[in-house]
Amino acid sequence: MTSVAERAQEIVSNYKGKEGVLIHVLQDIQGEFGYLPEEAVRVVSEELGISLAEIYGVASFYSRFYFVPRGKTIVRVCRGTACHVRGSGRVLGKLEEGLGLKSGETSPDLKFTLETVNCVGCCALAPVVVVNEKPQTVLNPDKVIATLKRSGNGGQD
Amino acid sequence: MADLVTLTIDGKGISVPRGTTILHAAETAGIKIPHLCYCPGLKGTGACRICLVQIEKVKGLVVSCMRKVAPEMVVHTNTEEIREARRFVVELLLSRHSGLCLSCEKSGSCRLQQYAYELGIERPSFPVRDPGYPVDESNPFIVRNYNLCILCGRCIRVCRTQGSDILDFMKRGIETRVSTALDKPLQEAGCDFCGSCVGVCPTAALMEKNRRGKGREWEFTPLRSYCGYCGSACELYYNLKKDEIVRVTTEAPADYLCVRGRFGYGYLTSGARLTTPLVRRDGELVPAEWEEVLELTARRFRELRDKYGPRGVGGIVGALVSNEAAYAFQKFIRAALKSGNVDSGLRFSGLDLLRECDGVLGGPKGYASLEDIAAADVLLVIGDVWRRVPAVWGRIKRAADRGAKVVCLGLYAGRPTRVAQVWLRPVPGAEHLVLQQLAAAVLRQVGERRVRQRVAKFNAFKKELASAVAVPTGVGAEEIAKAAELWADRKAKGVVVLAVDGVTPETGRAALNLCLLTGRLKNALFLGHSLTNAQGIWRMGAVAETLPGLQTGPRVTARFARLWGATLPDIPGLTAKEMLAEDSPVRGLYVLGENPVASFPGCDRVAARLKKLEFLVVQDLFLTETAGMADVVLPLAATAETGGTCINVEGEVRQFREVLPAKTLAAWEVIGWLASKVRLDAGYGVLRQLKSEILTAAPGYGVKAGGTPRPAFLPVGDAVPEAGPDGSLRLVPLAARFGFYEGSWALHGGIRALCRFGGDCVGLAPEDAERLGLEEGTAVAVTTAYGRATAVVRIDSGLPPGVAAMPAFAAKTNTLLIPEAPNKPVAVEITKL
Ligand code: SF4
Ligand code: SF4
Ligand code: SF4
Ligand code: FES
Ligand code: FES
Repeated sequence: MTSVAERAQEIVSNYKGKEGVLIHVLQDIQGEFGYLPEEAVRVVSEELGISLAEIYGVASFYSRFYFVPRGKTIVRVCRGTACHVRGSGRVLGKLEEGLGLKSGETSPDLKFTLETVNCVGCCALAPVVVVNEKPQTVLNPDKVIATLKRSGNGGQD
Repeated sequence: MADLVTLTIDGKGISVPRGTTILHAAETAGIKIPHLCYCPGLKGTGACRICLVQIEKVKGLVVSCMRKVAPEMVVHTNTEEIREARRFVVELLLSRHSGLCLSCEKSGSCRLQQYAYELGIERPSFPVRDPGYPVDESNPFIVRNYNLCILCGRCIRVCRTQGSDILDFMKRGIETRVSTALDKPLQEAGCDFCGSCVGVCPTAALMEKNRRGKGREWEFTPLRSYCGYCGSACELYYNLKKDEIVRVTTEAPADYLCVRGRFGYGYLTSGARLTTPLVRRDGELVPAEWEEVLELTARRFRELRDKYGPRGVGGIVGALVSNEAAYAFQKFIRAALKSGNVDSGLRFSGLDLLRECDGVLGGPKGYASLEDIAAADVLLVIGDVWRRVPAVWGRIKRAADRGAKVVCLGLYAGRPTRVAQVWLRPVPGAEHLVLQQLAAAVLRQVGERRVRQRVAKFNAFKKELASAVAVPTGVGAEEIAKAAELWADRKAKGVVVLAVDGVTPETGRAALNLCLLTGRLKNALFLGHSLTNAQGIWRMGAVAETLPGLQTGPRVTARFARLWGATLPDIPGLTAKEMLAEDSPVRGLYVLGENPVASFPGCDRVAARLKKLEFLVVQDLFLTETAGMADVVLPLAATAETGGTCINVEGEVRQFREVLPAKTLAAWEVIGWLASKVRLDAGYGVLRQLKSEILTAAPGYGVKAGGTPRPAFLPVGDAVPEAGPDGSLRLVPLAARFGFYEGSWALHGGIRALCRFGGDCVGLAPEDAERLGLEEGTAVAVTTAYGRATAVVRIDSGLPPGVAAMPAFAAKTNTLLIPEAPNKPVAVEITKL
């Protein structure tokens, strides 16, 4: 058995015998791997006796579950109305160019994931980019790109 | 009755059982309420809300497919308010339906279209958003166009009920769609291609690939018949346009067919079908006229019989032909050729076990039916029966969904083991011992006294149990105890689901004993068999020991002699096994609908023996391996062309319908013609006449009610599986999904695509493959004491370590198995080529 499967087994065993634990199990698995590896989901399916389709159905219902590996640094560009009128389109374009990624993609070295979101609730800061959960105003996208790239390990703080 | 509820629907007073939904209640009164997400045979979800109705004194509209009737309820199903609400539902659906009814395949049978029409929706009042999903055509059978999907969820529910449970809603809100895990194509997601989802889909979102461009529903004629692949002989409807089968449907939308029944009809019209007789000239098989080949055949048989006596000729018939063909065949061999040597391939696939079980159960009325499985409280599923008779799976699943307890015995981790409470997974060859240990544990619970009174041979039985108890089988005592507890509950309706042709006789007898032990004598043993007419063939007398109607004895023989106007040979004649033995006296052989060179165990020896014949006639649908060796090849018409009957695993007589124009003469016409040339005048040639003769010879097709007054336990024997050294492998035949049924029908049936490696694969557990340094697709040599074959490796995590599985029915598998005991595991070596 591979380590992913083994780890998944451990996670599920914490919940064994309890009802309605699927979401918690998936959360823990995502916490462990940063996304839901198929191998781990198969283990969950076997152990909990829930079909794969149902698990993916549940998981895809919540936008917070990911099915492919994600970058260490998650860059999310707000596309809400406030940000839109203050130029988030340009910001996104610049970031795409600067990171060499389209929205929704992850760099092959797993350093960056670029995404868009709808209003993150701090319109006063518009245009907003959220880097690893931290919202910031972006007036000069080039500067953000430079900072991101500089912090070699992906701008972890 | 106290349980009836009386209510009024649209002014009509009706009474229905308590618990009925309003929708159903209305139906019984002939009032149709539109429904989309609700599908007869599946649980309702109340999702689409098109079935809204009004109940007086109830505020708002209610969902009639979910709401149960109540006494004195007054329901309206078609007021303007309701119609307005339904209109809204349909308009919303249309707002994400980019289909164009004008050119849609489903036009005329689409529910969305029908309701839009009934509600008078002329143009959608919301802007239509095209979801823009790519259409999936990547598999051979089903086209999935989710742009036409209305998210009713029927496909998801039916796949969960009887398919592989691989579908669900993904995402949410406007992005919601039906898909598989990670959007994998069906073939990778583990789809069985049962086509149930296509059957229930109300729109054109799911369609049979084959029917595209072939017309609309109203142009098709549905003809009711039965599938001819496995012993279940499921009811189906061939939908024909002129003389072409365009699709296969079922009576109710959610009825089960497996891939063979649903999509495997291509063999009937395959270009590879034989249509003219062939005769060997200068070593080559060349087309010839009927008159000529039958003349030759009759002459050669006469010569051989004169030269070697009646024992010098014989016939073997397969278990896929109709009762009528089998009857005519055995009559020809016995009355025209005057030889007792007539037998069936069934000899190698469970004939003895069938006979024993039939004897104890007193005939088919005592067998369990598919519905008995669905209605059971406890199921004991033995072997790969759900692969041999796929229809079983849907019933097991339904039972399990109802809360039935499932005990599985077998080495493969498959569908039934997933729903099982207890899975007994012995080392290969120890299955019967596990059942004996189970019986011992059950006996302790039910107590000896009653059993001793009810069932004869108790002492011998008990002695055998005692000697089996301590033998290691790989199954733990707790597992046995758990299973025993379930089975010993005599109030629970228990059914043993047995793969008659896929287990050793010991296992089969031990299973029967378990039924006797708990007093489950009636409708408690399901005799699953891979071949459509396994139950009919021997009832028609196409086996060495018995005449039609399972009759034997000098008086019976005399009666048949009178009926047939001929002196009859000694019965029993030689069995198929004896006819094909090295030293058998048979020099001339007639083979009907059977392919011994591929499908008999030890088939390479069979081939060698056939080569020594002086004359071989083979009659079949295709030029099989055996036909390729023949002196004369006769084409065989399919049951879907000629009609005829079979007896299915439940003991039901099934009448095949003539749906297609015959590509050639019916088997009984050929046999009748041939008989007249061997100077025997008999009315074989006309189906009606033949049928009435059969009913005289074997009343009720030999399906009799009977019942033994005091059943007796069968001896099981104490064969212990030989344990090989560590790391050694045992070969077992498995009717696996990767091999389905590897006969010529499947090959030509258009479902070849599912047999990834044909009959050429050997399945190994991942651990064994790794240990041996083998990868998926590696070419290997497979060697047993009986033969050697090449195959490719298929890594199958359903298999336990220590087991190598090869597809049952495949020629290669048959060269490797023990000819006398084809279901017994045998030591095997696997080496890289
Ligand atoms: S064909 Fe059968 S197994 Fe495949 S998706 Fe449809 S219902 Fe499920
Ligand atoms: S594919 Fe057909 S059956 Fe499945 S949800 Fe869509 S419309 Fe309903
Ligand atoms: S289960 Fe058997 S009879 Fe039914 S459709 Fe499949 S092959 Fe045909
Ligand atoms: S629109 Fe961007 S934060 Fe609200
Ligand atoms: S049919 Fe009743 S809610 Fe869909």
